[in-house]
Amino acid sequence: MPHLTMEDKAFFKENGYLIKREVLSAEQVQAARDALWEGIDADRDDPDTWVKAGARVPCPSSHPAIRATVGESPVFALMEEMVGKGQLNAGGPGPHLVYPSGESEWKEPKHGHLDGYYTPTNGVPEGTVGYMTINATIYVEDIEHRGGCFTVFPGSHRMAHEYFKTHSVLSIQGGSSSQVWGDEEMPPALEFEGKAGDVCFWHGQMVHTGTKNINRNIRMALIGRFSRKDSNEIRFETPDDMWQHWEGIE
Amino acid sequence: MQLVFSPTSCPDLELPAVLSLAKDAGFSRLELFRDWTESSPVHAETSVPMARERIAAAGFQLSGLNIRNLTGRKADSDERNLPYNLRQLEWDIHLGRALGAEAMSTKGGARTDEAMEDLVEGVNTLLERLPQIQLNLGNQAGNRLQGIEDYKAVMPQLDVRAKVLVDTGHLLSVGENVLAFAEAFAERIGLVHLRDQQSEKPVPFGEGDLPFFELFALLKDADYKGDLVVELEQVDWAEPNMALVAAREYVEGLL
Repeated sequence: MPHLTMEDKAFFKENGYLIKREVLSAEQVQAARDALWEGIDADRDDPDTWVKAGARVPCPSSHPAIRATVGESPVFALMEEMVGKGQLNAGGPGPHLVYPSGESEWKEPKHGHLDGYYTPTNGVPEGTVGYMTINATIYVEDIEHRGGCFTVFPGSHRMAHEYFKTHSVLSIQGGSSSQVWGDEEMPPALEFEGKAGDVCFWHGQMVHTGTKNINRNIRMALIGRFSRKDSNEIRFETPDDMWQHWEGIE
Repeated sequence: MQLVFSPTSCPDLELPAVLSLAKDAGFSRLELFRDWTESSPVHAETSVPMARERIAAAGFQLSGLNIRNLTGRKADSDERNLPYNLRQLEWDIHLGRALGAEAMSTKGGARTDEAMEDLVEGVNTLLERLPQIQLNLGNQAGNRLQGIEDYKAVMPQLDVRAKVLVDTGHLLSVGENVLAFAEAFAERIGLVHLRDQQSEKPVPFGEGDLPFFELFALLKDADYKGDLVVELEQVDWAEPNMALVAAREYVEGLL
């Protein structure tokens, strides 16, 4: 029984992202949330202590409860419905927390970045670009507007594909969209607002960003990045049909 | 043995101009450098498919790509980090494969024991991960792989798909006997870079210290069927095109 409708796939193709609600069970969410709290240096029952409370990655991605959010949920199968059964490398998500800032000012972002690009601190080797086919942002806490939502720029996956037809993948320092497109060229940002258990699937060349969290909740997101098994054969290619390697997308 | 054009003669030219120069000089095969020359396939306004199509449209075959050195260290901080360095090289190798390169060449790091350890471990790791490639290890003055003793220490420890890149110019620069070097590794030579020199100064082919005739005889005896890369650097005796034609004709006359 497929999880996605034709409309879902058409939406993903057009916009580069797809939000699916209640993908994780309450038990999976609770287990992941408990795992995250094990590493947060704050009082779980006192939101006043959550402001700028600690590590962006409070527990390792190898934690069984974190891995289970992909491995034991429909998340991987959903991605395979788009990319193709058996086509994706296995993998798991990692925690990406955004703590309440304690501030009140919030601005909608005009730009974001592409993943996989080198910065002096992110572990990506200089002079390389990571290749991702599809990614998933999994909420294990309710996240509202201005709460540090994972934010995408719908349609930017098509802009990126066109750009890379005539430019090196290494031509964007840090993957920053502002190096390629002006403010007026960027689509409006879209915040992924959701409940714990909701998932945003997004194209590997989607411009995205995090935003400041001026709410009380900690943005508890897990982000998984997935590549095709044949990514080393296609990572430099920009076919006329950008969906050539997506068996589930027509 | 086939002749190959090297952009060392024109490091400031971008790929389209290099292809034009190489074609005018009578070549149909070329190699490129990941870094160092402006004809690098990593160019902001050129995608890999664009570079590949330009090479094919000019009637050329890309014989090889000179990738970054296997130093065992991070380039931005000089911290020892072999896995990081290997990810760079692996990325370069996939770049070369996407361009249609038939072989990749690299060099080592500093002349330290640590760099030697990392070179051995790194080459074997890469070849294990990438079963479809051959990796040529080039000698260079001041590099971990500089002369015959370095290769004698390293090659027996490496997978058979690790080959020796004989760079005659760099051998002459450090006073190594080119023939002795080539003879010592005759069965494992994967590529030959030809540059004639008088001591460290590049000169027109046939006017320097490189024993072309004896080297080619040795290569033939070893049943070497690989490429001979014509390297000219710092041409100050002729226009690059004229110098390239003369070098090509000189080598062809000996084969």
